[in-house]
Amino acid sequence: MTPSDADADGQLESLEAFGARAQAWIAQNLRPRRETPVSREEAQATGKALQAKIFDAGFAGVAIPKAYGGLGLTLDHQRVWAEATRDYETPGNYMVSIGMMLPTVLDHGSEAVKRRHIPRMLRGEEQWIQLLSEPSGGSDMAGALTRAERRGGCYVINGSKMWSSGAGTADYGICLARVNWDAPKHQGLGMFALPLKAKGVTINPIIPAQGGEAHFFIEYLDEVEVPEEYVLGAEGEGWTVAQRLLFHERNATAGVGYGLGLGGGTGGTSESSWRLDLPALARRHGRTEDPTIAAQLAEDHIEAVVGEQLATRINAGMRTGKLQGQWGSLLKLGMGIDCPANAELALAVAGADGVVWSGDNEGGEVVKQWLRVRGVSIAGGSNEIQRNIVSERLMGLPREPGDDKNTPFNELLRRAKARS
Amino acid sequence: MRFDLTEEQEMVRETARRFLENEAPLSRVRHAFDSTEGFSRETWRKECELGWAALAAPESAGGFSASGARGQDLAIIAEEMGRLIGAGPFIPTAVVLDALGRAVEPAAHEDLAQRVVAGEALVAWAFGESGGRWDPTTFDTRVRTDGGEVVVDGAKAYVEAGAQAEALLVTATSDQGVLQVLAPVDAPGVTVIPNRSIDFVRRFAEVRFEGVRLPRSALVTAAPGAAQVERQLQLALLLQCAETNGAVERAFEFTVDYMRDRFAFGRAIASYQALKHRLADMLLRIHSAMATTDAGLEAFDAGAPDAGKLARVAKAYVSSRATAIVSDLVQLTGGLGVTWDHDLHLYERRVALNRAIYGTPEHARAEVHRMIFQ
Repeated sequence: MTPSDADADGQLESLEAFGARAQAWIAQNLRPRRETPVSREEAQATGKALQAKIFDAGFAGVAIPKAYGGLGLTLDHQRVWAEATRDYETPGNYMVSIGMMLPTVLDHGSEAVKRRHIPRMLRGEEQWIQLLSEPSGGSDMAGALTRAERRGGCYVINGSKMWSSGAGTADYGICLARVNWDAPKHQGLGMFALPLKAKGVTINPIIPAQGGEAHFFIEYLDEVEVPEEYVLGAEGEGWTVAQRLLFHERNATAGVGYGLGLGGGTGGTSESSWRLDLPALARRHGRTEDPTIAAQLAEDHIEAVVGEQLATRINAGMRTGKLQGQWGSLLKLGMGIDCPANAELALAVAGADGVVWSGDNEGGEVVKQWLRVRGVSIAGGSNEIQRNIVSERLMGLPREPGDDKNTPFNELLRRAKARS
Repeated sequence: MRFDLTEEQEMVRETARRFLENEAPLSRVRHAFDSTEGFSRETWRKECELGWAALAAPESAGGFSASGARGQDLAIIAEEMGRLIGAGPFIPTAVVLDALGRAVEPAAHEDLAQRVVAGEALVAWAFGESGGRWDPTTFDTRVRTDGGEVVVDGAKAYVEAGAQAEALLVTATSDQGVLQVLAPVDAPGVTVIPNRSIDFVRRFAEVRFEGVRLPRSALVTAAPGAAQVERQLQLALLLQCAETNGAVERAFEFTVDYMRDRFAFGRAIASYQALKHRLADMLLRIHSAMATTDAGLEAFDAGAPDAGKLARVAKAYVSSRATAIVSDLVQLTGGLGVTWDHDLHLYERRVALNRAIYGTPEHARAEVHRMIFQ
């Protein structure tokens, strides 16, 4: 159920009325999306201005309650907005902050934090990110070693986090840290809204394999103070909050839920797309009729079409309540299988011209896509983690046996040390 | 099947499932293995009483609609039939009724259509030709006019229920383009040769036409009739996809249940990641297959411009994934899965049959390639 605010008569604005209102404003105020790619700096600057403009016009946070600066409508209304803005310039850099972190704050934040920060997130004044994985582990997220200690009226955080996207420019990070080392690993965690510009936070970029700018960062947290009201959920409920955050992340990545319509951007060919347009690439290389790849090109197109059709189906299942639980995982798994195959086929289509080119290091988009594409099958829960979720939580199959769920975390660490 | 069925569609689905579970369980399917006809005419008549054929017919011939979307209504039945290896000639019946309802002179065929809807008469679609040819734009079988008559010459292959039908809808080439005529099987010059298929209950036939003379009233689709033939092929492909989806879903269900109960090395085999991760991938394919079938049906019912491409996308995706999944279900079942007594081979047979009929996924892929780059 989406939180929604009905008007005085208990009536929500109809989808048609909202759509008409949105379309009228969009036509007057947004520019058609550009064909050419836009640099990241420019995208960030235009994105911020655009987000403020959309907020000020009363179209940001379609499904977020009015009390926190949203419109108080439903996710169906947000879909209408997403469809109406499809061909227009929209902010492309709020997927994480507004699509994933905001709903987590909405679910688990204190009233004070929600009232103070959600409007700022919606207007694009504050960027929020996640601080979950650590250098010591990503898939086994509940094994976090970052430490949170209660001292006086606040928590003091020590440790390090990794793979946080956008940390270089962000304001707050939702940070998983251990509050109790004698409890079993899932039960000894807390979740904190950690100020990234505070004293004790060092943020370093992680340069990706394909080179260029960093998308991900590593953070060192040294005696960082977090006020009590910035705890999300109760002190020992960090894992529950993390589950909720991951749920929103999977949905947003899969193009459903609160992330709907936030994946746009201002430029034509989105540099962040996980799929290359292979028919276009084949045309450029004069290989559309090449019998060695013809069937695979068709298959790639079929996978792209079916991927979208699957998202429509899963959406309908969630909307009608026939699907319960983390079905975004199935879509995430689909992308995690399909996109690497797409990049692999791109190598075949481009051939030698994909790996050797004239000029400087700016070329090689095809092979660079192949270098980066495993990001989609690893980030946000690897394919293997998604397969666990699909088989265990969606299908209800038994877990692999293990006692890590019931053993005090300290004891697990001792055993691991003794074995190595 | 889609998640947002109308209430009436839900009722159609539930009634169909209950009927098949009670009247046509797998034990009966097994029993029909050696029978000539494959299916029971009595059961088919009862299925028609439930309105299965009527879903494809216009009101004037006793037809009805659960949702106003013919393809989507019919797919509900096809999927349910797939779950239990349904026997009756559902797809050819639906295709022929669709053609008769849109005939140059529907009244000329109304009597037959009504008897088909009631399950009293059987019809078949003589479409494919030997060598696995399913191109809807050109046929070796030809029709010419001669005075007040039409004359059919040629041969058709893979005609489902061809040896049980009393009349055949023959799709053929003429000087003016593709057309369709209705030929009674007892017309002079028609020879029906029953074939055997890998499926337990689906029977096919070859049909030869040697100077078969029919009255002008036998004409169902006038030349150039390529649009209607393309429409029939789309419907057949999509209903076949729905049926395949039902078969794969059911085989997946009972295999997963088996894996929950089967113990090895001290625990249920469904708990091993090496196995359950494969099941997760299968679930992804199964939902994808249903999604692309439903999207194809929606485009078909709306007469969307990309309906032809989406039907091929569905065929290519569904057929190839289905055989891969069911074959891997055999692997997951272990030795039992390769025995006659286990039900999996009934499902392997059906999805292997459906993979090839109305064209292979490889063929559909080539069509998609042509459509992308044309």
